[in-house]
Amino acid sequence: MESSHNNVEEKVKIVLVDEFELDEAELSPDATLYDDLGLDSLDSVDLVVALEKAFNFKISREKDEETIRAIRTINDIYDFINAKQADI
Amino acid sequence: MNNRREISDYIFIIIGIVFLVYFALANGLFIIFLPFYVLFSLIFERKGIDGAFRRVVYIYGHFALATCWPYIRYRVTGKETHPDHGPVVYVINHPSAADAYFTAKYALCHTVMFVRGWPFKIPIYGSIMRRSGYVNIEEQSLSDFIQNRGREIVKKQVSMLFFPEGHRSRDGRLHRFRSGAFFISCSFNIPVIPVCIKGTEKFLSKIKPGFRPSMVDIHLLPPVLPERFSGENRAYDMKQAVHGQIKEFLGE
Repeated sequence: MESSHNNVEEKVKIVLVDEFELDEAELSPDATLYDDLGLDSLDSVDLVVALEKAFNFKISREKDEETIRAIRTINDIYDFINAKQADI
Repeated sequence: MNNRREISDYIFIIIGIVFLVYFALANGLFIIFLPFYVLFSLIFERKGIDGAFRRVVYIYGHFALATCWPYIRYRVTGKETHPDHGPVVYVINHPSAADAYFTAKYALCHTVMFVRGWPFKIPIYGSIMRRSGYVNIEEQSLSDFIQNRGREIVKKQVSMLFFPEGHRSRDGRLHRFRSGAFFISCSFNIPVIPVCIKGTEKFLSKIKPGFRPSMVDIHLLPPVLPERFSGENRAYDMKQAVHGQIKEFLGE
């Protein structure tokens, strides 16, 4: 279980570094996407697509809208992915 | 060796200062005639006040580059695949602050640029940009734009131009693209024209001081049609495809 969580964290970091050219050193779990990492609302749309491709599952824009909107930190992304994977 | 480099930097700084004075004087001359250009365009082109200002910006682009010749020379290729009327969406890499001056050499006259808030604060330039209908991306959301102003722009057959990296490159390399241009292309079903520019970074570099002589190469890649992409991620897929094309052309 622990290794699967580590795997999620690794993959999310790869997505953030590759897709948004962020510095891996900045990617602490508490880092906020908008204030600390400088992403904007359009980036969040790209983030959803990039996560779908990295984890090979579908994120419903309607069903998951509230949860996606509530994502503020990298830790929130980990929680979201872990919850999605538990659903599958 | 370092000493020689410093001397050449000083020479280019002096050239830069002389160039700026000369360019400011040339601009002053252009501004004196500006009301005549606007009036002429209003009477003969009948594209409204914003259209008249876009025509002025277009003429100004040609004028500004003519004043810099032969210190800055340019070559445009790939125009044979370019549609002869708008609307289209131009996306272009952004190696230098001088890139905006070259738009008149490849884009259709009636094109609005999407820019951040600060250029609107530049005296005269900002006012002309606002009157030409340029879009301040910090003032409105993409969805608002698509539902309101975007419709008007497309209806008037005006094209749109983006620097999708969001700011000029600090290291001369191509960086990630934002998705706005591609959402607009997919929403209105209008083609994207990828544009590659090389050489402006030598003229006005973020690393080396002063203005340096340069040859600017601009190449228009064939239009990318939104129909080529499907599904709810089509704008994202289009962005990745266009980014890949420009990157490949730039040899990165």
